[in-house]
Amino acid sequence: MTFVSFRFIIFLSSLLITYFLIPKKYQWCLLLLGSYVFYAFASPHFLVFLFISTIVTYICGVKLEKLSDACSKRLEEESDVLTKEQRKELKMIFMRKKKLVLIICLVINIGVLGVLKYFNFFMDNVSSMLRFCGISYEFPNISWLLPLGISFYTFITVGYCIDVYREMCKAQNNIFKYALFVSFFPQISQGPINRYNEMSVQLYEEHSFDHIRMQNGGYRVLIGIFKKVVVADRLGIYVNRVYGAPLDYDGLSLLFATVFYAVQIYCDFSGYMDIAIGVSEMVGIKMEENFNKPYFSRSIPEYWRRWHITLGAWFKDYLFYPVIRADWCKKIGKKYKKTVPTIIGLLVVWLTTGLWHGASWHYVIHGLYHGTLVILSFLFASVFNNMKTKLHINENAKLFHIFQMMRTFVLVDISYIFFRAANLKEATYIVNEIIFHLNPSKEALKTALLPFTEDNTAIAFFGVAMLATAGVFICEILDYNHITVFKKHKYLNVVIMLTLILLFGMFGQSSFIYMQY
Amino acid sequence: MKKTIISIVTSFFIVFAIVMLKNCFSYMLPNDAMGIRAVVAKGHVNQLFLGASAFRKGIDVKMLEEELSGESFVLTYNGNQPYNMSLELKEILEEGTVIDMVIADFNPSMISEDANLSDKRLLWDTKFSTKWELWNEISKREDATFYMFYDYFVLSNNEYMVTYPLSYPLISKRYYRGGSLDDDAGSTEDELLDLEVVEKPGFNNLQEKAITEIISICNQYGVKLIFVESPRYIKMAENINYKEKSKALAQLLKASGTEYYCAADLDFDNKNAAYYTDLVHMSGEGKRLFTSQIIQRIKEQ
Repeated sequence: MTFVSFRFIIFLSSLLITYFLIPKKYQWCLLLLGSYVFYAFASPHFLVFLFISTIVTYICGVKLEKLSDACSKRLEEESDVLTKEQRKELKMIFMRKKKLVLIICLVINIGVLGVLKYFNFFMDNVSSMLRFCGISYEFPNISWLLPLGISFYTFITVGYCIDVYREMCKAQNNIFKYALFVSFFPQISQGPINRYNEMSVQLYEEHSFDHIRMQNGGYRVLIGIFKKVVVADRLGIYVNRVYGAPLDYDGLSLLFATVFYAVQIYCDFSGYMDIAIGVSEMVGIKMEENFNKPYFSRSIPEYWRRWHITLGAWFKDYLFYPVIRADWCKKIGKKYKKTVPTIIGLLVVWLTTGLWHGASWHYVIHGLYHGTLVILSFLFASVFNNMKTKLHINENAKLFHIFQMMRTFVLVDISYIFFRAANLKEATYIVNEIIFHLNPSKEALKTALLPFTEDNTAIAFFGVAMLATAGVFICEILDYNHITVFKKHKYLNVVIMLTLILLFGMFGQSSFIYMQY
Repeated sequence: MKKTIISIVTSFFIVFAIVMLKNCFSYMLPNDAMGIRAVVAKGHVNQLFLGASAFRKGIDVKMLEEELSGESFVLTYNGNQPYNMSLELKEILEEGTVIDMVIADFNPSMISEDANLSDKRLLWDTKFSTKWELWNEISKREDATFYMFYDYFVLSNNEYMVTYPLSYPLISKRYYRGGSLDDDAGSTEDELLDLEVVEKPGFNNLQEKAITEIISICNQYGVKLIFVESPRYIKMAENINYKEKSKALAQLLKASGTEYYCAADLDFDNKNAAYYTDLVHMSGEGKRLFTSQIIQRIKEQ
């Protein structure tokens, strides 16, 4: 069951009706039941992994909380007796115990994710290394499907445990309430990667029917469906055809496919988020925003602050800072330069970001490519500023902003070649064709549009795809410039949006790109 | 809440109105380069080539114009099967169009197909009654779903409708009297041998009846009918399913006393990869050779 299916409409309608009819104190129970039903429809065999992750992190959370409480209690009770040194030692003893609990939690959760997602990749690379050393041994590949949303809920649960460990939030003592936080259906398959602090109160409090909230949520859902079925899935036909057999296409088609993919993945992922956030708003829960017009970013670091915001924030809080604050990293910083720990932290984060997306080298390259760009912009920030001063570039000029946005888009789009291609070999072929064999002639242009439908209606299909894309980005430009013309005419928008979805929706393909991660 | 419901109902009403307008009146929009409407607009066609994309790629309309007297027209839709061809022919003749001769596609690949909309352009060009007749057959299929119905009546050709002022002139430029003006390059033997032959076995009842229907329509309107097979590349022509269906189709035509030319009757070297872009469709070179041979046969009539 995905968000763009009849089944989901029926599921959501029945859930909403029941949600506002039952006694409010049981609303969270219904959400829990609904979330498990939603997950069971999509991925019934993998409920076991969701249970494991929920139970393990719940137990760890409770244990961590108990250790924190015990530590505070001991310190309070023995405050008159203990010296400063003894207090410190006592804290250290409890800290070590907590660390042990956290490590067990991380090992189990990341371990399950690692085995399911990276086992074959790891074994393939070991086989390659053995071959390189002259030993011919092939490890058998295990063909298993990845549980739906495992990368997302693992990060959610691990984040929760670290927060409890850091005493940034209180552990949830009710396992069912905690299970709802982990499995809340709008977030389970593709995020956003919510934090317990921000969700806990909302999830368990009572919600009355509010028609303004319902309207706003419904409108957000419509926007998401439009992005998904009218824009993303339409462009997806072209992209899938070209990237499915890149050797059959010329440079121009490959360039088109690469640009279209940038729009497709954005509309697919942000469309999902719009639906998730909209549905969540309907039940009275406000989730984190995951996108903030990323293609209007003027630099790569800014792009990553606007794209998949919750993943970036997760990596920053739970990986980047722990790495740069680690003793070994601090030592390196003291020995060499202050910037070195930051660079190490960034490299670790981007390598992990690449791997998080998938167990393949082209994802690693994608991650490292972005990491390199972020590091370069960090290292050469002062050089760039000096250059701008010397060249008398007005940083506030609109034209310069547009140039920066286009430059960022091009840099991001290059990374999509590695992200979307089936493997490194195909990615390098595509780059080569786009750079060296781009032939933008009239004839090439004619054939370049063909992958849309592979017949003469391709031009019409292309026209609608462009109009729909322009529609999405015009709305974003207006929003970016704080022009609220669309918000004023909400009902008219609903009519337009629904009409366009019904007439131009590509309802055949319902899965979302990020579901595979 | 009331306003929201009104907005939703309004959207459904707008969609319904657009869909009805499209399905009932799309055929009225000008179209003189290709499709059923272009044939009807001619009023009188001497030779009508009726078939699928293999015919479109295999017939050089400019050569027909030079070599044959009167008007020739190539009426093709992708994957056009006998059942769809019979509907197309019926609509054209019922509109009062005079046709002297129909050269129909002898296409063994299509006779095993269920009723199907293989080219959505057909819905754009035909009247509602024809569309409904085709849908009736499609809906009898076991795998017919609501989505197929929705796709058929609601979604089809919306892109073309919205971009019509731009798309129509661009698409028309590539056609002349229904024939494609493309002059595609041929393939190499290796390229063609790499391609897979996908041929379903068997003769579908509906298609069998449709062939009889085509013969009967032509008899009713006094139109001369010939079936011609456009030669497939050797790899496909020798496929066992293809050969058996070809044999069955020939037997059916023979039994009804309808004239037909199989690929084997023509002097066409179907081992020459340069004549093909794939296993079915011809290159510019193949198209000219095949057309010249058909012209010769027509002249002999």
